[in-house]
Amino acid sequence: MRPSARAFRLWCTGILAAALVLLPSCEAAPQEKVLVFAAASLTDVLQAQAELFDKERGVRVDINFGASNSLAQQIARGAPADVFIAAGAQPVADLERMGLTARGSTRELLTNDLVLVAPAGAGLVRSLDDLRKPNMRLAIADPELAPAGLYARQALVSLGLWPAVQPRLVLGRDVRTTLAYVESGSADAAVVYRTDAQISRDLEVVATFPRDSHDPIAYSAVVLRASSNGAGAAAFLDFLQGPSAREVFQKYGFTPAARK
Amino acid sequence: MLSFAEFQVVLLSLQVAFVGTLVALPVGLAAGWLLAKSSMPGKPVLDTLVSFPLVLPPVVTGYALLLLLGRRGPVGGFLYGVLGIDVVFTWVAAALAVGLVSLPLIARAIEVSMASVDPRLEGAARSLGSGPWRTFVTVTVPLSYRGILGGALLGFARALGEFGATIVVAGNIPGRTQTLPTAIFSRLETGDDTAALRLIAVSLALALVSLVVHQRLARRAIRP
Repeated sequence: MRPSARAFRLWCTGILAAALVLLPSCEAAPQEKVLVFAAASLTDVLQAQAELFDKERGVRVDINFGASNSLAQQIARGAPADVFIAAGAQPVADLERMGLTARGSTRELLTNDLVLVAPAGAGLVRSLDDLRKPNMRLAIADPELAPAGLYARQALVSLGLWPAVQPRLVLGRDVRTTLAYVESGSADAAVVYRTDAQISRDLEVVATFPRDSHDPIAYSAVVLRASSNGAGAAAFLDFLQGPSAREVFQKYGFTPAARK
Repeated sequence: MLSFAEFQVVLLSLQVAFVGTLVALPVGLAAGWLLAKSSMPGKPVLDTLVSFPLVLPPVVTGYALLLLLGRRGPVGGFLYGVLGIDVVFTWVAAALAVGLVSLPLIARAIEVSMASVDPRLEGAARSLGSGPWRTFVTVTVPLSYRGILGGALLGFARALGEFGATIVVAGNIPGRTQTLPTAIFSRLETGDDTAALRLIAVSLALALVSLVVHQRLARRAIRP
């Protein structure tokens, strides 16, 4: 056999062997997992809840965090989520209207507040009025993508600050990206949820927006109709409304909604 | 050190890139052979089609796949309607995306190395009674195997770094479809620079290994 032909066969065998080793890890996700699509503002608290759920029930929960509207769009296009938790009622209602949710599984999970954050200590922005300063840059979430941006716009409009800040806005993909813009100094202040502000040690709450300046901030959760693990999905939502999960939510600053 | 989640990202990236390359390889072989050896009509059209994923924004390639594989698309609709399978937003979609994006690199390398196979050798095989398929398998492919492997390695390296098409058609779901580039993007977006740097280091190492192997193959190919 010519050497190059032998080398060729060696390579082929090697590639086949690698394929055999790699392919078993390619099997479909087992049934006892739950895939949750959740609003970015829930990042830390839901990771803690997922760990707790795994410890108590032995069911693994994977979570994809993002802007609620982007996630709803992905679900509408066929993303294999079992549970969807949005930072507002609208993204869930949209999916409901498209017939993509399990009937009767929608529930209100949490409420939150909207605040203005800025770097702790000295800084350009110390109050809501400072938003009128001409050299100030304000980060909000993109209202098209994330409910946080929608609430922020509503609040700024109703307080009469919108015309002043609009030319100096930095739009984040979701509320956590928005928060990162102030943390990295790309913006002087940001409008985020109170719970996001608590996550960051370098930032402080400069002002809280009055509750009547924006729609009530309510997190909606739902089981998706196409879920391959409907029972696990419903169990996780029930768990999130149970006593041990409520405690965790409160620890992270969320207010659990009254169970109906 | 890498956390379990980061290790998972690396493993999934390797799996996606490997399977993507494996899927693109036969297509690249066929396209490379047609471009180098055949005299079929419409070769310029094939030539252009093969190069498309190289010059299009990967986001567009991803969107094309999303339309094709989505539940309302021709392929995805069939798979979902008949078999109940969803392809989009799974690792399979990611593998198809990276395969499509690296196809031009693979096909070009194969075309070049097949074009340098002496047609007289193939002619000899044909005159001794080999059919076109047997000639292809026993003469053309073995004589151009370095180019084929080189193309596959380059395609694999490109697949490991693919971002745009992947995030459109497979999303960025941790543990399911999050690959190295999309994981790095997420870490950067949320300001977790140290985690991003760890993953960047892994990316660099993997790219370096594939490129070094690719170079060694290329150097040996030049030697008579």
